[in-house]
Amino acid sequence: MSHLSPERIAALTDEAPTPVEAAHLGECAACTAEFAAQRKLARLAAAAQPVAGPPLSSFNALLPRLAAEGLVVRPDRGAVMRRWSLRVAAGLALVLGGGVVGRMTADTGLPVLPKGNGAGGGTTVAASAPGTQFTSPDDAVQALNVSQKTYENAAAYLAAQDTSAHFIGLSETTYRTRLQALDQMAAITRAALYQAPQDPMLNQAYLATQSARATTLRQINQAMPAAKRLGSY
Amino acid sequence: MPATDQITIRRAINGDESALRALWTQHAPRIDALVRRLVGDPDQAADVAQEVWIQIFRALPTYRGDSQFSTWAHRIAVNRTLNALRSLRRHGKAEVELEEDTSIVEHDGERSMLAQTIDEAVQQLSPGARTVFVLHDVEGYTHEEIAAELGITAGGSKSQLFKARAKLRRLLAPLMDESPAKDGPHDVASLS
Repeated sequence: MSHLSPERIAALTDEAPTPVEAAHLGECAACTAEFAAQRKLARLAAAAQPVAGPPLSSFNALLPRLAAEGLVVRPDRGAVMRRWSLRVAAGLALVLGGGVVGRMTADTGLPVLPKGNGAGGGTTVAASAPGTQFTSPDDAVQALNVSQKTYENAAAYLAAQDTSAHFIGLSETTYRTRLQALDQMAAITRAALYQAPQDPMLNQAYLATQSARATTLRQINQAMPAAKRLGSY
Repeated sequence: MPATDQITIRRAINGDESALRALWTQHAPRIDALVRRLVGDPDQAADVAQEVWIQIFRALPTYRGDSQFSTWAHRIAVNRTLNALRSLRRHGKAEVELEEDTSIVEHDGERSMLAQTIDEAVQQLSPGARTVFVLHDVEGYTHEEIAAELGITAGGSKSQLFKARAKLRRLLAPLMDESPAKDGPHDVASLS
């Protein structure tokens, strides 16, 4: 019999040989070698590893299409920023509210925050009243700046005058708890500013947090025993 | 399937970006390897891989967990890649049709060259032969499954495969011949 064709030898990896083919393979070294090579090829194919190379696809490149087809729900960056701002504002309101309530309830005989549009030391408060409608972003930013300055002045005044802690039980521990919260708020606003460095509200919130933090540090110092007080921060 | 996979898949179905990314990161290497082998041309393979992943993510809600996610995704990848290859051929961007005519295996013989790896050699096969070889000998599909995927007969699939193997044997001659001792005895009894 003549040699087996290459295709037939390739088939013998999967199929049994006919008796004639088996007899030929038993006596033909060339065909037997070819058959061995085919078996080796089959093993190589079955063990083939993923082809080395750079990724064919990129998940970031897929994202726009996934979003267009509604297959991925991407967070609304504006909504995220609004949530951050609200959290920061809520935190600040808590701190400020706590300070004001503390002053109101302490009844120490020390100067209290003036009501209406005046602040301690005759400072004029130019912050807009609640519900004020702004006509441009610049107006709103200006109002924020004024409010920020007013807050800082008030916080500094309170820090200098406030001895209420001795009367209403605000301890060093309480101030430290507030400081911890302010540190978290500062970290959050700082991280948000990396995403939106031009956002005026985030900038204001960050500055207000830092100011409140400085005030709290001063209050902690006041609450500490005299021997432990720091000269600077 | 591990519970974490189930959770990830559930989140991905709900559009969670990080879950979708996790699935892509975990399974892209194997999907890429499949697409590379089937398509051959790197630029076309990149386009096809993108389409494959879109299709996988589209089909996620239909995944029932009856099989491994990787198996399920792999099946979609094969199907989508073969569809893409048909489309490329319709637009004249691929070499030849997927036909039962096994002569196409030999069409590019004049530019064949010896290969150092099986993947190098596979890329020198015609698209039809390459598809059958990769699906059968690398991916483990049966001839009946291949026939169903390609719209040919099981006999046509076998014929393509044997021609492809014969050509690969020639292309990989140095690799096949270098260590015959490793193949063990080749007595007739071992043939069946």
